[in-house]
Amino acid sequence: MFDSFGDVLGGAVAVVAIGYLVFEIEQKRKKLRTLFNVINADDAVMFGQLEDMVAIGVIIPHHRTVAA
Amino acid sequence: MTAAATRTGTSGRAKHALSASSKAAPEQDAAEETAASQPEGADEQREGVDEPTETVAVQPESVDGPTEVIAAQSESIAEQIEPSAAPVESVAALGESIPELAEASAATPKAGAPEAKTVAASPETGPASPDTRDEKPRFRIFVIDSGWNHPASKVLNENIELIHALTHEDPIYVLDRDQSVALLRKNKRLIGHDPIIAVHDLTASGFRKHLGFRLHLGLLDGEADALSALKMFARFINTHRESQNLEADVRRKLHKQGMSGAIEIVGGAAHHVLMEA
Repeated sequence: MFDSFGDVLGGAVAVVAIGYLVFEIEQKRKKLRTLFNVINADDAVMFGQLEDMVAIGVIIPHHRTVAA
Repeated sequence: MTAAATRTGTSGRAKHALSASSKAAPEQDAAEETAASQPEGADEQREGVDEPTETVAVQPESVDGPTEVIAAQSESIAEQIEPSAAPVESVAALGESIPELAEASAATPKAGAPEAKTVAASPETGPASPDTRDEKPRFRIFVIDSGWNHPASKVLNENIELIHALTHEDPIYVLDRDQSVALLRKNKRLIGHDPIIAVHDLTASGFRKHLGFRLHLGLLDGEADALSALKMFARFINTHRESQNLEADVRRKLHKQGMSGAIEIVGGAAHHVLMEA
């Protein structure tokens, strides 16, 4: 399959490089998902509580204050 | 200003206006007679009294010939209003249970800032500024911050007005410290992730009641990262207000899924690319 040790080494380095690349990409995606994500089941509970607070008037919309 | 203070002031004005109106001519007090015949329930009285107050306030004071019957009725209403205005705690509790009351109190300008005006950004409170758009809100934005001494909190507090200005079609609900702590105690896994910006998509329907996304600013260490994320949030929410599939956009644009996302990440500029997208 491989004619020389150099080819073996080259292939191994390529595999490691690609593996590292994939690992880094997944790490970054994981970080982005943790930081900024769509609502999952756990979040839905919190959103339900927030909506309840809005419905009963516990929290009201923030009002922007601007100079006259 | 609290809802209690607002209601107390309104009730006081109502009482004063009604007392003054007892000196008006009978033919001009026809509207007051209507007010005097309001139901006796506290809430209904409040609804009924606020409207005649506007009418009575513009009546000329020089008109004489007070009607004793009307005066007696006015006094009676004033006495009925007074007990509901005196206990501040009870009115505050009422404000917590009546959304309209809470919104009304929020729309009242703060006494400490006479040179500033409050712009009602929520379509629920009606347009209060020329720049208020008529668009329906797509999102409800919640800001949860329990008050950690964290760079992200500082960045968020410094830029909340700008975020509000950029997203003024959508109401922003900023939870205070106690509310945030109470919410986090119910959702313990989120402790330490705050400040959290949670965006609820109001177009959600069907079996999925809650659609939207959230930003955990508290996971970012530096001010620069937090500011970048905040900018990313503002850009995303503005550019995807009309999105048909918001969650797919979140995954594609923010999670960098797919080959193009991988290339952007490999390029080492995911943040910058997000900002320029």
